[in-house]
Amino acid sequence: MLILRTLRRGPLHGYGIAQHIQQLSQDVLQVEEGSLYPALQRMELQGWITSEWRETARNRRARVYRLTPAGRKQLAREVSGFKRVLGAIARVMGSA
Amino acid sequence: MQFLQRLRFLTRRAEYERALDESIRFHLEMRTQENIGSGMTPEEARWAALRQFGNVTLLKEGMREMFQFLWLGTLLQDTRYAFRMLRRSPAFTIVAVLSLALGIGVNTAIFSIMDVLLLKLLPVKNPQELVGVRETLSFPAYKKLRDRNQVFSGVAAFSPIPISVTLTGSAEATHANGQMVTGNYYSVLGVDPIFGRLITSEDDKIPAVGGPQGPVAVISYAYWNRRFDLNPSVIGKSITVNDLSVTIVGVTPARFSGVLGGVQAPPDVSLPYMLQPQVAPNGYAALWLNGGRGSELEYDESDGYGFRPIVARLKPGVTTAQATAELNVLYQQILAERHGNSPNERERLENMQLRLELRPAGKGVRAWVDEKPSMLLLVAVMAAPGLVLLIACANVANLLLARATARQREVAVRLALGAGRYRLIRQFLTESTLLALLGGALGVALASWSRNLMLAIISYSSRRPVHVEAETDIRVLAFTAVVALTAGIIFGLAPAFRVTRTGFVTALRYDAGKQSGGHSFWEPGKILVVTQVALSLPLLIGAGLLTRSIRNVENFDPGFNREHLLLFSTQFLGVNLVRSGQLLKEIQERMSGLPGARSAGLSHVPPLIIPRSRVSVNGLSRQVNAQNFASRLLIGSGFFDTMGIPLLAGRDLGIHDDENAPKVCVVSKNFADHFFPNSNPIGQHFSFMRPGAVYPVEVVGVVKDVKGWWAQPGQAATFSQSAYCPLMQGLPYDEVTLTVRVAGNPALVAGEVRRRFQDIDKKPSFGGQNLGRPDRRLDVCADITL
Repeated sequence: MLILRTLRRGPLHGYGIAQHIQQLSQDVLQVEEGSLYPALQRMELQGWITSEWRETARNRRARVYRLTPAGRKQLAREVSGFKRVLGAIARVMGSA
Repeated sequence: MQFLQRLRFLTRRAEYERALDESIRFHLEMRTQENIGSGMTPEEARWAALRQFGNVTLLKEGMREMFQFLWLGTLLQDTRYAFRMLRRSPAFTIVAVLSLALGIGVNTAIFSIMDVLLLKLLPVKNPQELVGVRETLSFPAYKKLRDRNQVFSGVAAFSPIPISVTLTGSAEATHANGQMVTGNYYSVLGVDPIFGRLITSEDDKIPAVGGPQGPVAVISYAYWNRRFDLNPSVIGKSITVNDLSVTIVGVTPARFSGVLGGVQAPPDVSLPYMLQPQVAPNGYAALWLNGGRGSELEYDESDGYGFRPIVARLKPGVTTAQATAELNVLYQQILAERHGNSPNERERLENMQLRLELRPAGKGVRAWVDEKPSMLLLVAVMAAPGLVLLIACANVANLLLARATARQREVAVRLALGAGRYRLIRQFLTESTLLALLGGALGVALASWSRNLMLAIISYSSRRPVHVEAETDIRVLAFTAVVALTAGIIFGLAPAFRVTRTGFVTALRYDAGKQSGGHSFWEPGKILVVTQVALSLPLLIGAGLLTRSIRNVENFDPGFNREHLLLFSTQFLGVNLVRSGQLLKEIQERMSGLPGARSAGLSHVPPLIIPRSRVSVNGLSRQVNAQNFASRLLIGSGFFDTMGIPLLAGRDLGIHDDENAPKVCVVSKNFADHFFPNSNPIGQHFSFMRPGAVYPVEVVGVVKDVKGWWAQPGQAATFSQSAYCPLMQGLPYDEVTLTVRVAGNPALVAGEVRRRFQDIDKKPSFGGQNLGRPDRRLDVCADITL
């Protein structure tokens, strides 16, 4: 979900995605960066994202991932599910 | 979608892996750069990046697995590996593949022929319902049978006839295979046209005209392709068939090639029976249609021996046995009606013995073998090539085994490194299967070549060209694939098990390569050698016997001089019966005094294979059995001279023995001994019991016995009781064979004979398979019609 959310802002390469998540979560979410790639590949298999080679600003080739319409739908589903769970947790916590 | 992606991954695996590698490298470099930027040394930065990333190898493994159907992946891997191994030892590969290709090729070729001859059903509706009447029924009897029976949903008849065809606007006539059919022929068979329409009962109503559309014809797809280039405008076109103009109304499907099946030439042009008077004024079709000279059925093979024109479709649920029973009741009625009110006691008794027999015709009317024997025949014929294949397998297995022993160390190392035994066996099997498939692929190519060779040899050594519509179709390919795969597993399994069985500790020992523990009697190598010898032995014996029988055939003494004989058979096409005598005289005149020929003689059919006639002496018709039959050959003057058959008593036949002279004949020694024991045969009288007629003759001479075949194939040649009658006294008929004793160059003589035949008639009223084939020497006595 985080990856999909990140890609909603625009195409990005693997390193960029890792950077982005790290920065946004203010280093709270410290994932093993390697696990990003299997996740990306799985999503590509599901058809949520596509990828292509692009030149980066510093003239290097990087694999850039892009969200597909199917990916957007999936993100919407996951976000709504997440919000429901979050809301539920918040209510439980709030009432305590 | 996912599946496709996975497939893409499998095929472009290297590309994917490279992409992944590059992505990871890029990631790590960026991270390292950043770490350096935040004040680390390059060394520290790199390690930190790696730490943060996690286990790269594990990651890659995981990602790969995400894509794979494991078995397919390993299969591909094994195949690639196997290819590599085979490439590394090309000598081994070539030997193995070639010997397998030979084995598989021969099997495929013979199977494809046997498939057509014995297994394949006719491409018609419910072919298993079709039955053929084994005996020859006359046309009137056929009609009664067709209209009165309760067991068939339809009874059709057909007669193959040779024809000459002239296309409109063309002066050139060509020979073709014709067929006369009853109007219900196609509907009984359940064949639909691919183009136009087929012959119906309407087209077969009025003698000499046909039906409302006049004379019509249906052509086969092959003929359409050959003569008309598949041009659709063929419908409605007129062609001239033996002087009769007919309109083409339709084309039969490509798969349908008549109902004869087996080795007969498929019909090119089919015509309704009612056109017989113009199209086939003589021949079997004429005899049949005109009531077989007035008989319902005679046990006489001279009128179209082996000619079985009737094919019927059983009503659903009716068995062949039920149909046969009812058919014979009906048949006895028909026979009784024939004799009307004068039932001769003897004839009545003879009729009682006459029975009709039905044969399954789903594989073709002339599939001359019954269901069970045909399977036996198949097994028998396939046994020899099967043995060859087994030997080839044993060969390859032996080679593999030798190689496997050499690879023992490699295998041991792999086992030691943790490879599973079954994984290794699978790998070995992949290798042997690959070998087998390569052999199979080459074998298929070899098969069509060797099949053509075999058919050419059979055509050459038998009297007629053999038509087998054999092709490498899906059935044959399936057969080959099964054979190849089975072979691969058979010869791959033993070496695979053997090599992987060894404990790796022993195998890894330094001297392991030298010995392979060959103390046991049940050593696979030894077993293989024993098997090979055991398999080769029967083949050798078989080949030896075959060679001997061929030698026997070559040394076979037919009772006449076989050296330097040339044989020309020809048929009169579209020639009216009335003309045949005149034509014969012309031929006889023309062919005398051939340069390079010592002598020449005519006979109505080729000598050696002579139709039989029933013989009655002194008006006494003896019992119907083989003893009272004689081969009846019609000959011209000079025949005995040419054949080298010595005259023992009396006189030879001459030109003066024509249609106006008293009916005479010359008989063989054994004929005389059988019918006229203890008396002088010269001057004796006897009669040929022709269907519906009796031909009395007087014996004027006796000649030496000559061997020959009865009209039935498959029987051994015996000295046949023969009677030779003058050509001019046996008219009419529609074929003639010229036998020439050559003194000079046979090819020159043959050329001259052909020229003279053409001089006699510019139109191809002469057709015949042997005409113009000077290579047909009589001394090939394997000349048995199939």
